[in-house]
Amino acid sequence: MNATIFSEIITRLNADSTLMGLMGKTVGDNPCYRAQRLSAIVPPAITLRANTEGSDLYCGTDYVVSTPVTGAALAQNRATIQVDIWVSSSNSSVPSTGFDADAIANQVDILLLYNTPAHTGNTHGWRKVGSSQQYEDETGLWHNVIRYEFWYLTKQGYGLT
Amino acid sequence: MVTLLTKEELIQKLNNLSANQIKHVEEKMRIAVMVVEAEAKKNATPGHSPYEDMFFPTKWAFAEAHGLGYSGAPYMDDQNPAREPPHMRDTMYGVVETEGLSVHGIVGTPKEYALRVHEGTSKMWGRPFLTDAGAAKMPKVIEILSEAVIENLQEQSE
Repeated sequence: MNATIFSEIITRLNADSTLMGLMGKTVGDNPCYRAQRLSAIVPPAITLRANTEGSDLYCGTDYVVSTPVTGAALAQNRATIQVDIWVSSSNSSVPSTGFDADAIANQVDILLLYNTPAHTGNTHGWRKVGSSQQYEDETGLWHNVIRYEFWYLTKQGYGLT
Repeated sequence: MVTLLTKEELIQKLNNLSANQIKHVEEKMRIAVMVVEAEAKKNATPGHSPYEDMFFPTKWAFAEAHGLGYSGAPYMDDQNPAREPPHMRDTMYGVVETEGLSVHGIVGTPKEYALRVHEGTSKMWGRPFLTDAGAAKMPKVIEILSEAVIENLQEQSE
């Protein structure tokens, strides 16, 4: 996934005071970050990672883009982003339950599905692909997974459009 | 050729169109489900999986210790004692269910650990073999289901 877009999505989440409140955090704590393969998760946290991404390449003038360029190769990218919400059940302060994890998930929905282009200006067509909740016995973690699909255009030699 | 219909005949044609649509969609949905199921199975097959290069330390260590080739696909080697036969890939299924005017195509697996494989855990990255299969085959599914509408229209126009 394009790094600028990924960064905008993370910023969108970390800048929301309601989401931070639900996580027992404040704006500036930045508990939402790109998932790291081998580092341990410290809850509460929201990690994001890109799933398989499809792309259609075509040529010509695209009048949809802000600065049309004739003859540039354009790629319409269909990205899927996986949002993992991690909440520990091992303490009594909020968030600590499956309900708390669901409340966080609902706020993520609001942030990523409503008025998203205003914050991640190069994306469009956001939709929720699916969601689930699991409880990990061995770690005592609530784990909500939400996947969103969205579209963005890239233009050869110009990057995002 | 132009066929002239009375008002009653036209109403009958339109009623038939509606009544037969479900039958046509069910028929095509069975094909669509097979297409997605096959893709999901491919996603869980070593050598063909999009997760081939994903690294899982425990799996890697087992492959190394037993001189086996490594694959990040959600498929456990037959020699691995942790494997619970049958393979998850071999339990994947597809069914079509109809409720009133809604036709649902369902692809899944009854394996208890499938959700953890698909969604991931705090110690293992997810490999969304079903979600990816649906996304990859969506254009084909739309094409197949569109045929149901076209075939029904053709049938009723005869």
